[in-house]
Amino acid sequence: MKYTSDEDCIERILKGDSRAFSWLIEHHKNMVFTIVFRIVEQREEAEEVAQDVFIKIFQTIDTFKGSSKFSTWLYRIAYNMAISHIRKSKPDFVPLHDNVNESSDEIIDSQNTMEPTFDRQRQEALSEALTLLKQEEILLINMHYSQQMSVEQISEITDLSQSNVKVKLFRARKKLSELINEIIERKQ
Amino acid sequence: MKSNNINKEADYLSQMLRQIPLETPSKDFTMNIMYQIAPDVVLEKTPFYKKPLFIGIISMLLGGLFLIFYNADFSWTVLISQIVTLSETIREFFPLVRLTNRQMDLSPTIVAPIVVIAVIFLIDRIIAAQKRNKEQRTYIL
Repeated sequence: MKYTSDEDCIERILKGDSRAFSWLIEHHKNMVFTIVFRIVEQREEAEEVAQDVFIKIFQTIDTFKGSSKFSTWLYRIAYNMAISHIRKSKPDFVPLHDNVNESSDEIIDSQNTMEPTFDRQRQEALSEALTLLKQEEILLINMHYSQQMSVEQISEITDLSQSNVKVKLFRARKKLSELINEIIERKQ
Repeated sequence: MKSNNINKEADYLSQMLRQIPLETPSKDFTMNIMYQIAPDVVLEKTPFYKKPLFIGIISMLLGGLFLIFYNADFSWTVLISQIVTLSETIREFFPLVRLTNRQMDLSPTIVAPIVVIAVIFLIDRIIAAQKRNKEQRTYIL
């Protein structure tokens, strides 16, 4: 059985087609797991939380009203469940949306000054630089670049304002760019 | 010239960022979830008339009626007396001490339907269990 969209799948799940739910999991599991993993930072724990996310989705799918995209609703639940989970083990954890005193002006003022370098060298530097970024910064990069989510969608998922999403994305990107340059310079 | 270079670099970085892979869960991830929600799927999402227990009871009743009416010596008087005997026997079955003595006195016309109904019920349960296992296996894509 082929399913054309998330909405088609939801309709079939509500009619009792459990295979449609399995399709839905396959379709979204990597992004849900990535969101949870970037917050929880432990693979086994992240896997458990991500499974709980899908079980919760199955139990409450009839409450999805369709006012936003299904993926936004799903990722928001994943994000919130991961935050709740991490707060139990780390009460001092500060999620993205509690750390928002930034100005969007710096996006305009700043300039990217990366020098052109060889592709392979840059790819290696990128992999190394990623290990030096905070998980929450990689999560934003994953959402915006790997998943092509709009700033508006990320804002809905993380509860950050749109300007804060832009600032955080910009900072993550700038930091990554600087790290890449540092790594390349160090190796030359 | 400098701004051209900056834009080119920005595009290049965006392109690289798009290639950052997502994290992937274990191979059993989907299967584990489907196993966890399987009781909900079987009990809540299946219409009541398709539930194995419902089918089992109906099969038992039909089987019992078939056996009673198929009997060539059928008469309502005999049937009522058999039902009375059966109900007395069942009542006496509960104190397990009497079980061994009493079951020898049961007439074959009473024992046969009970055995057949029990067998039908068992077969039905086995088929239902197999069907459930098959359904759970197909959850894995």
